[in-house]
Amino acid sequence: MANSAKIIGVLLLALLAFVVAVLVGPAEMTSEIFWQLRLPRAIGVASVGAGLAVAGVLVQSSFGNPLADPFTVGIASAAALGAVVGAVVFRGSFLGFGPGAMAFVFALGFSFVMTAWMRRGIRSAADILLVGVVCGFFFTACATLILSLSEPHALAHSLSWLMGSATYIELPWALGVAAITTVVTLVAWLQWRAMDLVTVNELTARSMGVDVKKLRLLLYVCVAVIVAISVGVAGVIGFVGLVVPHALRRLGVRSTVTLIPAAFFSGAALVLSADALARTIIAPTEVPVGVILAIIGAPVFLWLARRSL
Amino acid sequence: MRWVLVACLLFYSTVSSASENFSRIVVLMPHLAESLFNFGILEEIVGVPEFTTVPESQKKRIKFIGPYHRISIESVLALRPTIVLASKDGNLLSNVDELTALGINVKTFDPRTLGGVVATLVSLREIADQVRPKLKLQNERKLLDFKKQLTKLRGSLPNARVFVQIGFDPLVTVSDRSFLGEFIHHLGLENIYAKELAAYPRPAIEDVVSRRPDIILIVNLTNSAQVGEKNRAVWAKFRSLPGVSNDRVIMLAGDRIVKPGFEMLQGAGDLVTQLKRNNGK
Repeated sequence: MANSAKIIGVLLLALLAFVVAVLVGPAEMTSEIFWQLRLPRAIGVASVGAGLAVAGVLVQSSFGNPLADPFTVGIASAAALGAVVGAVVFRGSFLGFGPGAMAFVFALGFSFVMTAWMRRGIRSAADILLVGVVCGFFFTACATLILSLSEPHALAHSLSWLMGSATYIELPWALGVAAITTVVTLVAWLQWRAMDLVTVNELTARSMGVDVKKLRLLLYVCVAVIVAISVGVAGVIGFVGLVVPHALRRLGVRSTVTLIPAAFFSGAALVLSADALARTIIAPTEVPVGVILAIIGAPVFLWLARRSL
Repeated sequence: MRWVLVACLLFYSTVSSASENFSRIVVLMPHLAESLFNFGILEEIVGVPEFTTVPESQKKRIKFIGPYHRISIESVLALRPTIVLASKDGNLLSNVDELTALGINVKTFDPRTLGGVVATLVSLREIADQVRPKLKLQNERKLLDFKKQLTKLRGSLPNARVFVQIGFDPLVTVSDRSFLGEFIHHLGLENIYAKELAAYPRPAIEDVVSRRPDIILIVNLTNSAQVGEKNRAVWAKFRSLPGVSNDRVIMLAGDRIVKPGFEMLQGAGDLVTQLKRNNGK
């Protein structure tokens, strides 16, 4: 009962954040601004926030590492490299695809390589994380190298992407992201019992009949799809995947069965609120949403952490 | 007494200018280098920043010293310049300070206003006069032509509210604090972000929509037609905007209009042609 109340609470919070995000902006609302800008953006941003928070839960639970997030496993860094290649090397368009599409392709490509590797070679959670971190460094270095050779306008475009950019989300894309994120979240949520067992102890989970490798592979694919689509649509938005699951756990939401839906709605609420602030705080100038998330989110998280110590 | 002081200062400035050695010039900003090329200075230029349009005949000889916002000091020093030409609009002050501290003679220009652009061209012509006295008349004519054309362009476009887009993601525009903003005003257009405090404001797209510009001027710095079309498609969604409904989304390919030098006139020419073409539709 208490858990249902918590989920309903965060659902209401997400709905409130959605309404605020749609109503608040630097300009007076017109039907064009509503349909072409605010509604698609609110749906897209909410889906990205929800997806990244869920991805954080999945990564932390399946690898049993509280510091893991979509960035730790290297997928987000691969996506960032894709965006930089799209913006700088292909000057913003490759066969009609922009940096977002390139980010998606790179994230999925890296995930395919990693899943193939997980099926054949690397098995343990620590190894997967280690490979993810090392690859993440490699991708970041490649992106930095390309950026250091780029023209100033391409540099600005790439940096905007790397700090999270949700300006040009279109309604069909936003709805598509929402649908895919929801389906992938549901697929992962169905594994809640196995995830709970793995979180407690991998050996116990095995003795209870959980195929840990298979589970890890499935969750990895779920994370890959969510991260690839999120980065493709709104750039690199960090912080959500790490902080939302931790904040929820500190608020007493521990079981995966509750944690996943709670993270889904909290992530949406957090990114929606940050995006509304990003659009209005120094209007008419827009601040990258990733910057707002880190500046406001970090102190809030530290306050939460201090309270529960 | 005051006249004596002024005379001394004038004498000193002439002497100091005449004593400058222009045998090995390193230029830190592309438009400065391109203006010098235009004045006929070629062999004396030994280093330019990346993305400078270098004449074909000099491509093998002139060295690149890194992008203008991140000059490689080591590359500059290796070229043993007798003088370095820098701009207050684009080059890092720390780069200029570092070179000065290393004993390099650095001459700085300030083309952040329209007056500054003209003053920069005048100073560059003075350098050209010293290096190539034979071209003095020709360069004087070039500069005079530039000034004449600039004067002719004043108020040449119908007064209309324009949004000047020089960046797509992030959306970047210009205010009157930049030379381009001032140039737009000079042409007779009313920039909807003229009064912003930043020289290059980054407005939210819905703020642009709410200001209802009559003309949307896209400067496509990427030179990619696909990016340009994508950009145009974003604006096409806002059919209620006067600029969109009147088919006045103007796309200028390349960076001619944003270069504070001779090329900006060509950019303005492109803009006038396109606006006339759209008016004729």
